[in-house]
Amino acid sequence: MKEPINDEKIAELCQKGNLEEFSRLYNKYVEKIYNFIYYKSFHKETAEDLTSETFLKALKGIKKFDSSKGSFSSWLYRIARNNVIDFYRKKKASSIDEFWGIDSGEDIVSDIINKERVAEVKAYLRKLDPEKREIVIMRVWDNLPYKEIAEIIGKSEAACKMSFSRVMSQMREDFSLILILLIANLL
Amino acid sequence: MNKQKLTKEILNDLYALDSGFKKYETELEKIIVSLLETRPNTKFDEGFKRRLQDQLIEEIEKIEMERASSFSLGALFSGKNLSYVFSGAFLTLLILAVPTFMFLRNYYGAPDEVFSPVFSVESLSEKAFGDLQLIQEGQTENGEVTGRGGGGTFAEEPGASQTEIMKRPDMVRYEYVYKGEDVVLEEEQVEVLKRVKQINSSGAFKNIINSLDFGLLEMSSFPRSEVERISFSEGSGYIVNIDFVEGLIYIHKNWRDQPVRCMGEGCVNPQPLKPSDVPPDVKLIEIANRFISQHGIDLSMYGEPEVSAQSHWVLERAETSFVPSVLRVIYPLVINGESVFDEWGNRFGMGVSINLYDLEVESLDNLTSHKYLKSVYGAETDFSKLVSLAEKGGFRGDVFYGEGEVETVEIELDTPSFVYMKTWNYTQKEPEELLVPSLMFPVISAPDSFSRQGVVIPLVEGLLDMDNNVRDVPPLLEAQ
Repeated sequence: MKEPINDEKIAELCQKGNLEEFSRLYNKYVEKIYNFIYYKSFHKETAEDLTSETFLKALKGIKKFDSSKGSFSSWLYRIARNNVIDFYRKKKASSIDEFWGIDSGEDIVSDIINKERVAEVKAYLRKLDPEKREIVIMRVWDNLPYKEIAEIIGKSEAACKMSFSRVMSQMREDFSLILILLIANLL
Repeated sequence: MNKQKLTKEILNDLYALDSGFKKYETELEKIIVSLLETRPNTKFDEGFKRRLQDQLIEEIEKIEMERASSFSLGALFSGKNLSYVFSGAFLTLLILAVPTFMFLRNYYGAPDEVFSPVFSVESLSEKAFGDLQLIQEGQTENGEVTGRGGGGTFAEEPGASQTEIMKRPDMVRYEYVYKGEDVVLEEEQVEVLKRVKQINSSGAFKNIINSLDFGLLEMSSFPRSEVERISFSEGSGYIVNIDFVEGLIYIHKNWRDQPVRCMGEGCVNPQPLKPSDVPPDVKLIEIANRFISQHGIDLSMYGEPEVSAQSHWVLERAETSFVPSVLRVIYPLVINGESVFDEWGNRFGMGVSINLYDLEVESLDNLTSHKYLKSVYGAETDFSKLVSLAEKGGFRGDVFYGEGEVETVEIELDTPSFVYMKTWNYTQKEPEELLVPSLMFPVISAPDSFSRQGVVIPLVEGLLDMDNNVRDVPPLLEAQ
């Protein structure tokens, strides 16, 4: 029986010249990629600019996609991630970390309680090693599986799982954070 | 994925890595939930999505224009492996007069309005499809009776297929008896789906129509024209009918060039088929799958194919009656993980009919778009009420009219499962296709002559309150 058409098959159709098929990939991923970038910048305009750049690069470079090296999704996220890195490099930041959380997010968090919680969690996440933070965000906020996270950041799946578990251990041990979260929940 | 499921998944990953984490489950769960709850609302902007879409279209147009310099008719046909002839000169005009990028623009401009195989659903307000109680009465809400004609040229009718054979009404009264377990129904509301049938073709074909001159007529003089139906013919092969009004594609052999099968002298196949001529199910499914694969038909909305139960029913009685020349393989429609059945308890989906003489696909029916609207309706929670309706024969009770002796036969029903029931709402000007959450009571024990697979009872309150939904044996026969 013919299998349902998957991303890689659609990408293959695009590679063969059926570029109209790209719309399916666009519709499926545009919001995910935008969110992925937003979680790294906390800035709407930056996220939009870099999302546009990501899809334009993916469209023009679709022939370079090689399904034997990983999924289409990982390939697209990698382009997005590289765009974010390049963007901060151009801004002459020594690392993304400098810019992480640059925006207060006032335009996105409407209620005060949630705003405080976001600020607390962001502050905690900011203290983390950038790579670990990235893995936590990709796993929890982007809901990406470890296999894909590994393909995107170029680490092994086991290493990603280990990083995540260490953060969890660290967070669990950090009593003050637990307290903050508990209070926030009680509120 | 919902928060709870994702939390569980993350926790399970941690336990798989180090079972020691299990000791701290409560704390870890709280941490993960808090992380999830503090996920920023990115307020993704649909306007941005459209703007970027336009930007991508422009980029595609540039690429296509560059490619157009080497574009040729032959390349198009060989590249797409298409041998269809688009109603004579029409295709020629289409290809020569309209640049490829026009299609791309239209495609991208309205991606949801082409025949997309992807399931999409839009929420409407409560009871947005009107009073469903009126559906089976065939009345509009103001009491006007509507006909059951309508539908498009290729619209399939409920329960109908070329392979189904009209059964002679049995002179028996079926008595349904529930033998299953008690079921607790907790949901007080259910979501009814309505398929958005109409495919807006105005964008895709407007420029083509305006450029057509048929000699006798200039189509551009009808500027508001839309394409409702088109047919592609292979000549000696298949005809593909695309119905934009019904959002439906129907493929069948071009009979004009097929040999005539008959039973008399000079006929191609004078011998009737014997039961031994019928290949096993696996072979029929293989033929259907090959056809589907050859034509790039997307199966993501369908479950595992099977030879339709009605076909089996006929075959099992072939020794005493006859073997049909066509059998139907059905690809059951699966919506939100639930199977879809028609009002008579038959599996509903896309069908591929196979001719048993030449073992070739004769037709493919009910290939539809999957864009839906959904609306909430009150649900029946009294299981005993549903059972009593099932014991009366269900949404479509058995009706027969005739004379002679009436024999009572017991049909045993098992514990039901949740399904969608495909039904038609004729109360509107155009018949509407609805998928109603329902219970399917499978038949577990029935006499050989009984063909129904199960009894379907819709869960929507409005449909249940109607007495004439469930039909008892006509009084005339009872009196006899």
